[in-house]
Amino acid sequence: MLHNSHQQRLIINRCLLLYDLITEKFRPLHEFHIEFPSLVELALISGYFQAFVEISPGGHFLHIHEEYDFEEHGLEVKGYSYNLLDKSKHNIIRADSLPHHRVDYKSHKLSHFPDHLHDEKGRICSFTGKIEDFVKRASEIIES
Amino acid sequence: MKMSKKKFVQEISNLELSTDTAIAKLSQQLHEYEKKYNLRSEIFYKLIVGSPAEDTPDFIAWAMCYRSYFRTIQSKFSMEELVAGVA
Repeated sequence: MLHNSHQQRLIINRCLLLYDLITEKFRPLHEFHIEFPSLVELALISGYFQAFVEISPGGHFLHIHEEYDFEEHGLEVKGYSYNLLDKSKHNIIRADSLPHHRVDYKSHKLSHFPDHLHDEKGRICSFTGKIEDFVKRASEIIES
Repeated sequence: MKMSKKKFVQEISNLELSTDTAIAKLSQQLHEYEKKYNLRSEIFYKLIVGSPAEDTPDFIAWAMCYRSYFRTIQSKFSMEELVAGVA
């Protein structure tokens, strides 16, 4: 097993947070609830969580990838990619932490470098790195 | 239907946690990326990861999948070696 029991608990807590976020903000299909434990299983073994979820009747999708590491006694999201897609599965907005951008599209320093978001026009914007903020923004786009 | 926290924990504790299944899933995904881009994962990783070209959704996911695949393989074999050493 890749992770000890404490680390497994941290991953389970993280997955529970993701599950709560997705199910509180959106109405995923029934299959999502059935499949979610197998997504947690992969995360527990490999330290890599991924989910592709249909989140609206209009055909919006959320594609989440997170790679975990452990610092002292805590879990760190070492890398991530959060994507909101339309019904054709084209990206509407997406966020990640690759360190290839230092400024936003207005040439202002990113507030939380290396975290950044690619907006609806593909422009680089500041982003906190928190999935809660990404889900909130995705929810606003879907409702608009 | 949304699972309650209790149900969630119950479902997770029922998991068998098969390393082989995880390796097979990750391997399948790597194969799909390789087929889509006609590029072997190790070449992709050497050429693309760390460069600005990596900043696309597929490539970010491919890189994570590749690292996770090797982490899982390494943990499986180090565990097997440990068991073999004890036996």
